[in-house]
Amino acid sequence: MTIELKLTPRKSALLAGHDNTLDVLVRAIGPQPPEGTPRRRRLNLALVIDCSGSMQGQPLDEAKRCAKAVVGQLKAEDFVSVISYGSEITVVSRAAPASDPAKICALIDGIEINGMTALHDGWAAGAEQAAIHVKTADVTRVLLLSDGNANEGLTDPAKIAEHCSQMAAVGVSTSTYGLGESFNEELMFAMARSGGGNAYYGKTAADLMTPFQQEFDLLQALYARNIVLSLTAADGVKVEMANDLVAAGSGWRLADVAYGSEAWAVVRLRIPAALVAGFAGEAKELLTCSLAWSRDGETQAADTANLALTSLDAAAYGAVAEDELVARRSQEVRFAEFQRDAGTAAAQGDWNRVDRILDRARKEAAGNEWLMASLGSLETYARERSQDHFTKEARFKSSRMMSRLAAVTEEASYSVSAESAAPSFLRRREEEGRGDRGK
Amino acid sequence: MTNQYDIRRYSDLHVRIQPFAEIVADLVVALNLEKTGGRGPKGEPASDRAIRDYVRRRVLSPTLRGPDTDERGYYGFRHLVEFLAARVLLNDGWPLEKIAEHNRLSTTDQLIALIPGQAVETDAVALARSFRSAGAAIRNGDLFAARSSVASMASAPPPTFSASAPAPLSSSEDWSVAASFEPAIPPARSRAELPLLMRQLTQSERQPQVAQVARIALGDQVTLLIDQDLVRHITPGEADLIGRTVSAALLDYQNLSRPRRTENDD
Repeated sequence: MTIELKLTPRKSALLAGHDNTLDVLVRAIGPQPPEGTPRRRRLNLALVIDCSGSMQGQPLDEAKRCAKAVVGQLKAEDFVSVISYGSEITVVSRAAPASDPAKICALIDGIEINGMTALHDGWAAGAEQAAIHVKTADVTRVLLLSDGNANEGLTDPAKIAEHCSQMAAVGVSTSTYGLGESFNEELMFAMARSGGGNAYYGKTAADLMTPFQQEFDLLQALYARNIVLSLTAADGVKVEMANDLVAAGSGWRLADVAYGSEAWAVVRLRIPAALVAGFAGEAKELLTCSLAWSRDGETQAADTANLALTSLDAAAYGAVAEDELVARRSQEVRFAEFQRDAGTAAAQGDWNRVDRILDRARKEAAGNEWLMASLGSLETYARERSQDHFTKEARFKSSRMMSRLAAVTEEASYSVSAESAAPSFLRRREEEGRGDRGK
Repeated sequence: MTNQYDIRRYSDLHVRIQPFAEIVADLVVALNLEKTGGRGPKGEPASDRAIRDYVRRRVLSPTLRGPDTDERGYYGFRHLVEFLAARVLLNDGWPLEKIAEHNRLSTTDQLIALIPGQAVETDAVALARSFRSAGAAIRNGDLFAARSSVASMASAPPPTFSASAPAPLSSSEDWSVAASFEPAIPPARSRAELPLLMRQLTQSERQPQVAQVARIALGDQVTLLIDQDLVRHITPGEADLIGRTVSAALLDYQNLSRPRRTENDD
């Protein structure tokens, strides 16, 4: 049982006499769940809850509800701590086995509104609690919720992200949950990306439960973490990473892989015509990939995968069919780029540009049911000129598409009902900030 | 870190109940664990009876055999740690049944991490505490301490910090880390020059005054600066008075912004 590394070119040949640009899908495929009841991973979670003034009322109530739901799903051997932060940092429940969920939930109920947003201090307190059990647990993660911006204590996003990165290096990862329209998505993204976790958001407090459940389900099903993909191209071949992934050493970090899922990336190769001439009649190596990951505290590696192709004349090349999955994933990446650019344009208030980008995105999404459905919410926000909603949805959607886990058996077709049958962390969603309520 | 309450000094403990109870009682007082944290009932005094009760309830592990005998009834370091951790959790409001379960599932180091003032020897905990210290120092306006606490983590061997107090600040002069904290003038030099500069600026020996101010952005055009202590403990009446005063000042803006005319203006 291990991770399988698979390379698939969009076309299994090069076109002779021309410069070639070739998309290659790299898949890190996790194993299927073991027979019977697999050993459940021992979780160690620090729930860090914003209780600054703006959380008054329903937001804090929903945050408490989500935290209690997470606590309620933990096993007695898991560890959990709860920290609230406003102007003051309160360790609501120390890092300890989750053997008394009722007690912990009662403590969560006692969290009260408290001034400003000392986000970094709250996160650091959560990291400290989580760190106590980092050697005992299989997965240690700080889950930080905020509806605003860090405005007390350390507030420099780059510095905070650097701290998250350092904690991730000693085994304490960070996921973030933004709530509403006013949270600082740049900061939340930076913390999650640097912290080896995921960034989520909820448009309203009622939308929060879905991402919490998504993260919880993912952590329980995790097979491997810290997956680093390294690429070596043949001399003269240029290689680009199409997905927006975090650099890790000389490679890129892929999404953590759960049982029955795959992390993936599209790699773009540019092969000059002069070089293609040497591929006639004989398959030659274009790309070599290697993969390393950590599991149970040990670093492991997959067998190296190679891509070798031959070149064909125009007639023969035209007869070679495109690989449907590679074409679809390339389409997703391009669509995600449109969303990212549209989000940037919206943040600048350039709605004419937003409209132009969305037009192009719609053309790009043709034939892909999920992408077309996904475009709907953005078009609605664009029509309403709803800057905060559009910007956040576009950025989170783009980020998710660029780094999402996929089911190994994922179909091209899309329907909400089919998705709802999949594990929550594998579902393709139409709107990132909207929970599953009412669907 | 070694202090007079470092419980690791008892790591070779192997005694009968009477001396064990005396050690525990002393430590409970020294570590300020005899008082509740306001959440739970007060724990039993660290008496023989309480210790036996804890063993019976499995809050403490089964007693050990004697050094030269098969007879049980001896207590060791693990028992000491279990008792003190139990007292911390009792103060947090945990029932003994759950504490027993917790103690059984936790390693000795994990239990020690719960006890105030104890060194925790893991890189991850020390690193997180250095970040907390850096954040706390920034909140207190002490950039020197902020960078020192983070820099010490990068330059020194893994340090050990107090489990309850903020991490001790290093006097390390390694400024290679935490570049964002770096002031334009080296801190030592600027501190030395401060009295002279203050005399030049204010014609007095007075030290700079620091006030913690909360900045509340009310939309894009309005920002309220208010004393942080005041805003933390503000009453509805005070808030209302401030609001009315702001209203009055805004409505009288023309007069506020106009220079006061005097008899000599004409």
